[in-house]
Amino acid sequence: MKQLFQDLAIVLAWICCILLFSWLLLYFTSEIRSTSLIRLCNTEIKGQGSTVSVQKILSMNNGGLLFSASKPNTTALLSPMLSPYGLSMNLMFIDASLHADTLYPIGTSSHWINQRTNPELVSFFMDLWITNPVLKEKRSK
Amino acid sequence: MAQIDTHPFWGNRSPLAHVSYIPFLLYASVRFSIAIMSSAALIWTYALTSLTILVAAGAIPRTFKPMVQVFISSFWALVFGVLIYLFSPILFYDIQFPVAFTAVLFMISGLGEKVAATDFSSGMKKTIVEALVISLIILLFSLVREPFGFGALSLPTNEGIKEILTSDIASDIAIKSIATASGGLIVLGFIVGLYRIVKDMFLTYYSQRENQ
Repeated sequence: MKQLFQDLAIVLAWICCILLFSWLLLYFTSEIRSTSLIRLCNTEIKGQGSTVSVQKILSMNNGGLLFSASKPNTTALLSPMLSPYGLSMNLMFIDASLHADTLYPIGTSSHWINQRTNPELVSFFMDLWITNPVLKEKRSK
Repeated sequence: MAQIDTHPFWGNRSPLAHVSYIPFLLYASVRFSIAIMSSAALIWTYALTSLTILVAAGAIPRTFKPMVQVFISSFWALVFGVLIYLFSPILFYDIQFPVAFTAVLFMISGLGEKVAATDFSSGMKKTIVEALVISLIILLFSLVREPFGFGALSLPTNEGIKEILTSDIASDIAIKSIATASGGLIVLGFIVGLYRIVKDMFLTYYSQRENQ
């Protein structure tokens, strides 16, 4: 019994150490990661003719990222879309009336996948993201 | 133990034991660029997890070894993910699933148990060889699926996946179903069939040579 508790204590120490190292790694790189992602998104959407840019990461939800935008009362959502051709990452600006008209694929692969995906599937995903109740609440804050 | 190993359902050679790599193979081989990054993630996670297990062998209680190994392999997969994110965030989003899967794959391969039972050099050798064999299969499989399924070939760059050797004609005549998961399974079936034929040919050839 004593041996079992000793072993459990060692395992807990291992788990705590690994979780601590993981947290430290994510914490100390969070600033650099956010900056590089914002820079990348802005370069991509500028290349596709957008005059609005993304500014700060507001929250993360279901693999999607919510950004603040340079236009007032507008947020930007970066979300993955799974199609038969793979996963594409897309950014869209959502205004206060929950309206989004343009989908900006991020990366050449996403652009390629979107071009070949059925437009109905793309609109379905856009509707799904816009009407997500969790994101809706976060946007209203 | 030997009876369990050769068991038709629970054994290491049972049909279900062999399909553990298939989800990873199907996802990682969809594009050559994803295959390159997945192979790198696989070699990284396998090698560093085995190294940690071998170095800290005395400090991990035998009863809870699999539990600690889950955390160690997940940690190294996370480190790889962060390094890729720093190199290119968009590339990270393209390969996040295979990277996360490498930790799971390490556990379901049973490599942690095999490595812990051997000495340092043979344990590392076993790990590297297994990771290289899986990587090679993924890379070869992607070299079939991407050119025939997408009519292109891609490479990983800091701007994400970059397509090379692509044209509109090649893209139009591509057999797109090969690029999908179901098409991948069909191709896998053909490749396994071909592998068996070639293996039988080699076995016949070597047995004939031995008889002579």
